[in-house]
Amino acid sequence: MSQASAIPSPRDPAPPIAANVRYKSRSQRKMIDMGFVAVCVTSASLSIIILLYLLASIARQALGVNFETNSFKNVLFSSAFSLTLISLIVLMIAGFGLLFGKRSRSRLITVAVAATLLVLGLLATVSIVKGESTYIYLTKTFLTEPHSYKPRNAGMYPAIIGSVFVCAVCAATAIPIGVGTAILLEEFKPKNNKLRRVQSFVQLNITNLAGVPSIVYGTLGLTAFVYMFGLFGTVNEPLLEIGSSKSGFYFRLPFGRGVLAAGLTLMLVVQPIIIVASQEALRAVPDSLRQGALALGATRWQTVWNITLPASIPGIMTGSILAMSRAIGEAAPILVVSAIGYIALPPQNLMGKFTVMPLQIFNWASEAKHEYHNVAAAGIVVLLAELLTFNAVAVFVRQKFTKQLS
Amino acid sequence: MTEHDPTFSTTADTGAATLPKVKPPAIKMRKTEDLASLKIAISLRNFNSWYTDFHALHDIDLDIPENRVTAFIGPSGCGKSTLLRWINRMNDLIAGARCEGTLDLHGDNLLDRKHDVVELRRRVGMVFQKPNPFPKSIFDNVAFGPRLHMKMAKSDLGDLVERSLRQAALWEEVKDRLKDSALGLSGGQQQRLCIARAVAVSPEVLLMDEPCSALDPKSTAAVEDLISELRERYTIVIVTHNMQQAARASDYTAFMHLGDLVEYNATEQIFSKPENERTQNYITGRFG
Repeated sequence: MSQASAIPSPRDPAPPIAANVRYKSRSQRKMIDMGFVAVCVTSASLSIIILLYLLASIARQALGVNFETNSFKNVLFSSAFSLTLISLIVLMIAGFGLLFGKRSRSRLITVAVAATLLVLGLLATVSIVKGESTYIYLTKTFLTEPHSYKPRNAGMYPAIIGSVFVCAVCAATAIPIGVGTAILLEEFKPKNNKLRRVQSFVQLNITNLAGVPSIVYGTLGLTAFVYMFGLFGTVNEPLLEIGSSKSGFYFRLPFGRGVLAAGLTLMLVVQPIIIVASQEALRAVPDSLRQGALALGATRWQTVWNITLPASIPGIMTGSILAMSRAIGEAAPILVVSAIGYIALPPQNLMGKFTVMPLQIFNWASEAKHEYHNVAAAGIVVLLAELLTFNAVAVFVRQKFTKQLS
Repeated sequence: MTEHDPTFSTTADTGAATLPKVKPPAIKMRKTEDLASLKIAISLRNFNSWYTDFHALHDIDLDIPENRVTAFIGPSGCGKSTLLRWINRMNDLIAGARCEGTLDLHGDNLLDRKHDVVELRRRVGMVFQKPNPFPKSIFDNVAFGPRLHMKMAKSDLGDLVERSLRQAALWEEVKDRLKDSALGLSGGQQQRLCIARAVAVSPEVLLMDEPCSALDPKSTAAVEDLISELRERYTIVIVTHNMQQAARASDYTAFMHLGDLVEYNATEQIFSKPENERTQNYITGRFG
């Protein structure tokens, strides 16, 4: 009966939704669409051109380059720089396509080619700027030696190891706390009105924290982790010491200007990123799965652990890895916390003195000897290579887990 | 145009001449039994429910018999899903949902705040409108409930999964690919997997919230056959929009309208001689 009445008879056409409504004709709709497309394309290309020009001039200013006397170098620089930027944009677009859209072979190839062009463009730009090749600094010893007073012998070994240490501390603290916070905010929403207000307040503040400049976190880390509000004596006369500062196991309060303090400071910096990304991933899990698990008699926690969390792992992993690549590139908070320019040895323990790659690059770039600026450029290439590797791992992890699930 | 074109004939007489008259097949309904002679699984007395200020259910008195299929029918928004979701307290998840009255399952008051919801949901399984298999393997889907509630050896778990899948009439189709993702199954298979998942924890009651509304007719037939088989072991409560389905699959039917339980009787009674005018109008398709 109900089925028969559902089929409309051909005699009575569908009534209009409201009287006196004039629908746009097909051609009108097409015109509007095309107008929108035209406006979008024009404004996008204009803004890209302006952006390229701006960036090129800023880069020249920043690097202190003056090409006015040499027009050929001018052209070379502009083209190399444009190549870098364009390949970066292509890489980002195709990379986002890979991450969030359809995964196709052509997109993968585009990403690979764009990444290669990006590195080439960077190398070309950097070498044109100084007229001296950066490659000569990119030797094997560059990765195995500390900073030296001869630019040709300078390396960034302590900085690389320091970065690994700091990022390990950062990842080990930031990911569990961040994902835990996201689960609390997303899966254990309170029903009580007062608690709900508290929850939305926390939520608002976490979103706001994502926009706080990282140097602010640096000063916070200095007070909270390096000096620990002066509650445990001073940095030079710590209240509590376990083990010897020369050995691998050494702990003290306050933490002092060591790896632990820096890692925890970076944890504060990346925390909002991880929380927001994890929340998005958890929100993307359909509610029907949660209800299905709860209806089988799972507790809320069992539902999260067995159903929601595994289903959102790809998103959480990608967010975490991208947050880690931000942490690796962060210089400002480390500058405040560590405040050490030259360091010959990698950190011995969690409280040890250290330097990280961005900081080492910053120090080289502020050296008076201009050869060091090329060493800094070589350091940038290494840092970028590491970042790209991180992002490649993020793409790989996401692909792998998504395949497993569907 | 003088040529006779049957597909575009609009007048009633030519249509009647060209189209053969098809008599709908008679629906076979189960024999009426006296409710008083049956054991009662779930009983509701003076049951009221609200969503914040909206009074969703008014004074429901209902006895659901054991090992029989009871169908809730009624137009959208009449409260039949709400009632169903109170039986395993899924409404607890909705902010602002509350209820008053008594709701007993074999003499246990389910509305007692101290009552263990987890234990209750093991005893009262649920199948949803849209198939919702977990993004895991077929085996893990069925083993999910037993792993939560029972301690058992691996081989026993395998046996239990096989028995559950057999009960859900799915074993023959999936026995060679238990390790494959459950999302690769068809819609009907997914829904039967959800039923297998629900029966794996050996519940007393099985709630089905429009289990066939997202399925094609063939899968619907399979699920309906399954319901009449499962009736031997479980008390089944089914919410449906499809009145033929209610007539075919259920023993008892409750007709609800605007939060009232209008009529509750044996299915044969409801569909052949309903006592209430609203019931009559609804089942003859005059509204709803």
